[in-house]
Amino acid sequence: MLETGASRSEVLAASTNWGADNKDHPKINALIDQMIAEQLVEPAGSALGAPAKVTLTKWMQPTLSKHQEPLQRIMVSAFDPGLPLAE
Amino acid sequence: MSTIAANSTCRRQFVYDCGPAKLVIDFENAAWRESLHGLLSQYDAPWPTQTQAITVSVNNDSVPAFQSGIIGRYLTLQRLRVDCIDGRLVSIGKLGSRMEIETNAGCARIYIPPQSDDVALVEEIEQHFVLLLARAWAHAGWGPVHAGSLVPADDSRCVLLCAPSGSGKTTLTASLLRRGWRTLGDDKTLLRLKAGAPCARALARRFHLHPEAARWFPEAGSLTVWPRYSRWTEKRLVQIDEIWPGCLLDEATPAALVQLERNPDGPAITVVPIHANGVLNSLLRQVVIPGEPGHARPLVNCVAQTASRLKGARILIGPEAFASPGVADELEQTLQSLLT
Repeated sequence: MLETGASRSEVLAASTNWGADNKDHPKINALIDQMIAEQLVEPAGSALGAPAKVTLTKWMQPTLSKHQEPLQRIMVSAFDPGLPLAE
Repeated sequence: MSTIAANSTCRRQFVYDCGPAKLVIDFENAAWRESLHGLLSQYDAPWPTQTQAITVSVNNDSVPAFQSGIIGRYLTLQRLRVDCIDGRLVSIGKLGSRMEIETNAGCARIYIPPQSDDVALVEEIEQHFVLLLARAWAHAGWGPVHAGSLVPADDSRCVLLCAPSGSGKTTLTASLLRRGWRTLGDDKTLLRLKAGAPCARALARRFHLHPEAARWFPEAGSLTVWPRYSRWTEKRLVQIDEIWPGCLLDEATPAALVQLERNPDGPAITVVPIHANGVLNSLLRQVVIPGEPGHARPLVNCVAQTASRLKGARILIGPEAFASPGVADELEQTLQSLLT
């Protein structure tokens, strides 16, 4: 839903629909704060669509974990993200 | 195959069909066309629909003042730094070449400075063109993925082969082509979501095969008769369907992923399952994701949606693996099991 724009309250409401309860909200807010701090989301003018319809069998607290190995910063080309191995 | 057609009114203009993009290039100096033809003609897989035309001017003697503000926020490549400025992409090379892309307007301009090291400069200009094509393909809705693929006989689903250059994607692919498998290519694939499902499409028909591979695949003959791929490698540019006719496909549905690794001190083959996060990580590492959110978002979305549908495994290949009896059988069984 963040792809199309969503407010914090809309994220909380959608999470509730997906099985979260009130005691999960602080952790969801913390995740949103972490996403903002990591610049993974940016301000949008307005929400552009309804939350995605998902079928859940069990609510799980979302978490954000960074790659153990960061993606390459310097790449061979705009097609090949890796550095070539020695041959 | 890419076509080259001299325009009747402008002898310097050439057209290259490169998957879902068509480059109409006006070379101020025709010698540059000769130098760049090898790169521009390699994206020779047939494309079924009308493609977006991009007009490119390549100017040899009118280099604008060096713009020091380009720092590589959009991309930092070995030879180029790229920024997005006012909706245009601007890339500058270490040797002073420069490209400006206006994808929405369907045009690009490349400026080439006087330079004594022509080979290095050609390689720099090639990287401008790869950037231009990657952007044009993305603009057409396709994500470039540095991956090979294998498709079993009588199937339309493919296994994506992910690995850095030099890890053995081509050799592994060849080892199964000779057993009836087919492929979209050995290291260049385009990916998109079609009605919510991933779709992979061939981009280049020729393989980059090391002449030593002929030791394991005698039907390939002497691979040294094929042209070299670049000055940096012994690999040859091989028209693979001349060795294994019927092995090339245009399109397939990704259903599995193999992360291929060399294992110089290990057994001939080791197979390790990988789970959802590992599949996503592996596929992400084969895609160049630019720093501009509007350009990155569709690529990441396509990769994430595709990865969520793939079963995955790491395959570690030991030294002389393809000379070992039974390795091809085990590879074939492993890939088949990922597709069931």
